[in-house]
Amino acid sequence: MKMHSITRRLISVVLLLELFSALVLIGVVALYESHIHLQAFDVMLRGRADTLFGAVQDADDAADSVIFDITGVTFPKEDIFDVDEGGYSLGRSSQWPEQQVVKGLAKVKPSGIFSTSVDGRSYRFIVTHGVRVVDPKEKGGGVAHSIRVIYGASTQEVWRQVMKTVRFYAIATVLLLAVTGAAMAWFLRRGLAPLKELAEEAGRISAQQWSFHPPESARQTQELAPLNSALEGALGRLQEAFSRQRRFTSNAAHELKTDIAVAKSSLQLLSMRSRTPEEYQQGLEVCLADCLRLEETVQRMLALARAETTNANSHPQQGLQPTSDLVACATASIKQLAALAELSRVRVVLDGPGETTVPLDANDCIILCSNLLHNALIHSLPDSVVNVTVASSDGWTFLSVQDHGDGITQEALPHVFEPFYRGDLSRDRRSGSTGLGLAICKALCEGAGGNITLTSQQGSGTLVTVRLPIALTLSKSQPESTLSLASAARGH
Amino acid sequence: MRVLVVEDEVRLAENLAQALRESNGFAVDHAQDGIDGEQLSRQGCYDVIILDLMLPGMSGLSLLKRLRASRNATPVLVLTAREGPESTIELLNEGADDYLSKPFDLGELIARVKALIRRGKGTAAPVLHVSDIELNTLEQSVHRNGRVLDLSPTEYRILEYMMHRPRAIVSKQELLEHLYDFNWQHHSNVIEAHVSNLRRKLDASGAIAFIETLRHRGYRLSKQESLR
Repeated sequence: MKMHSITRRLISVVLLLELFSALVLIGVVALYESHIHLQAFDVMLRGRADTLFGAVQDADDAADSVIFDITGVTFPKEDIFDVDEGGYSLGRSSQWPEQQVVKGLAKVKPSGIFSTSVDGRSYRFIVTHGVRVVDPKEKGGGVAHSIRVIYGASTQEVWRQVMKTVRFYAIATVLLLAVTGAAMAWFLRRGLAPLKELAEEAGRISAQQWSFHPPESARQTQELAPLNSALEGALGRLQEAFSRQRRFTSNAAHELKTDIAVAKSSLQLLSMRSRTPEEYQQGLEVCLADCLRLEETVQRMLALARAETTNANSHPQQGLQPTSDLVACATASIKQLAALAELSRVRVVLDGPGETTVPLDANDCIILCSNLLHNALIHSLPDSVVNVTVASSDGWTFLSVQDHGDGITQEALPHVFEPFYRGDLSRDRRSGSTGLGLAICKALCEGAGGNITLTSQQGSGTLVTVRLPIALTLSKSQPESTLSLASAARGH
Repeated sequence: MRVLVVEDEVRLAENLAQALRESNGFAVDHAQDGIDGEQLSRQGCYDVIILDLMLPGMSGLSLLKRLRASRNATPVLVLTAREGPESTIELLNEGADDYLSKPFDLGELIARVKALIRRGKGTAAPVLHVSDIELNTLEQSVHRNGRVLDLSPTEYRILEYMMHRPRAIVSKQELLEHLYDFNWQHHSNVIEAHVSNLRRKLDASGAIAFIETLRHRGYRLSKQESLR
């Protein structure tokens, strides 16, 4: 693909505009010049015609006729003239192009001026009429003779003058264009130097070296400000995402290594010395439990990865998103965790409308509900109540899970949605938590276009609120089992 | 010997404790977080501390720093799931004596723990000699004048502990602290009974009494002319 240069384009546009203006200017100047020169030319023609008229005298003959006598009057020899009276020519120049003059007379202007070409040369003529009165002192006022004078001269000189002016302006224009082009090229190169420096600075960025400080010159250039801030913003977000990813990988490795260390040490412990069949039996069960724990960790990591990918790809095709009934999913997860609730001596109370559709796959919706409920159950005090509430307003569905446990510490609150973060480790470890539950919930909610918030009061409990858009029922998928509301609200 | 395991993964800690108890009869205590771990380590009754780095409450590294800042010289073996020379260098510079990365080999861990205990007591070789008594910490066997002594596990542990500090007076309390963990309901007369049995078995195979009793102070390996 051919690259185009802004500098070249800019210079061409400016030069073209300049050329256009110059041409217009030259045109106007040419018109004006020719107008002025022709006016002067006309005055000159009129003067010469009047001189001719003055040369018409009355002769002393019986008929008192009028004669034309130019003795003593000189005209340029190329000029053409004719003096006549009522169609009878009193005198004319040696050269008289009758045909052309007759043709020209047909288009004579009111001012008496007309143009025509004679022998291939442009001529301008003036026609003047005058009255010669012979013997005015006589009775009756004498005899009036109507005289017509036609005088023409070559306009070659006029056009030469105009062309001279035009030539001057044309040369000036060419010089101006050359100077402008060179100056613009120089200024643009200078002006674009900050861009080059910015590019060099940006070129130094790598995965190890994220810091980006736009050079002084670029920061002081107004046009580069959006680029600067865009670069800085994008890099900041990239770095954030990159370090989050790195933290996740490192945490995931730590988690997996720990789980593997457990399984490996269990096996090695078993083989350290010979044992009774019962001991082997027990040891194998322990090893199996360790493996299941490892499997659980891997599965949760995959679930999180999947939820986060959905997050990135779901938006373009909202219409195709699967939907599910939030109330049914909450009911199903309550049923799933009934045993744990009973073990913790916690009662779960569900309160919600008949059916609320959210843009989540039924399985994801159950994962969301059961993760939240599981957290609430293991953090609840014995004989307390966990309230699960579903409500809708303003096009949003709200799911809230309120427990009455000992809450989360202020220091832990900002981190609860981070993968692998465990607020109270000793207890969460015992309950088999991987520290991924809330991270998965967050990814699921955000993937569905909603959000999740958590508030906690130490000593009185934690409230998690999920906000999801109400989905249009297109392709609703139902969870495997749907309990009636009544049986779920009974509590466990 | 008494070992403190500071590890938040309960299953791993249980396995470690069981392996240490079964292989060498070590007394093992377990702390689940950094704060408990620090409190226990300050008691000074441990011969080695096995320390995980990622701990709730207080990180393993800051626990280690605090421990060394309080002039506690207990050998520390760090368990880490982090790779990379930087973290290893930092660990060793902060006062760790050894480290193992997860997942580790249980046998290697036990061998390293034993080596750390030896170094902590100022002895490099796994076989201890005091006078005509030879104690092999690897085989957990005791010879006097070439004859094998048949000791119970507790008697062996008392003798091993005392042979690590041949000139020192070892109180009953100290023996209790280093030989038993918190799971043990202990009485100081248990020590008396074991020491008396041990002395009887030792003396049966040698001319000179090996363990002497100092009233109200404790026990000491005999400081007679024949002792080197």
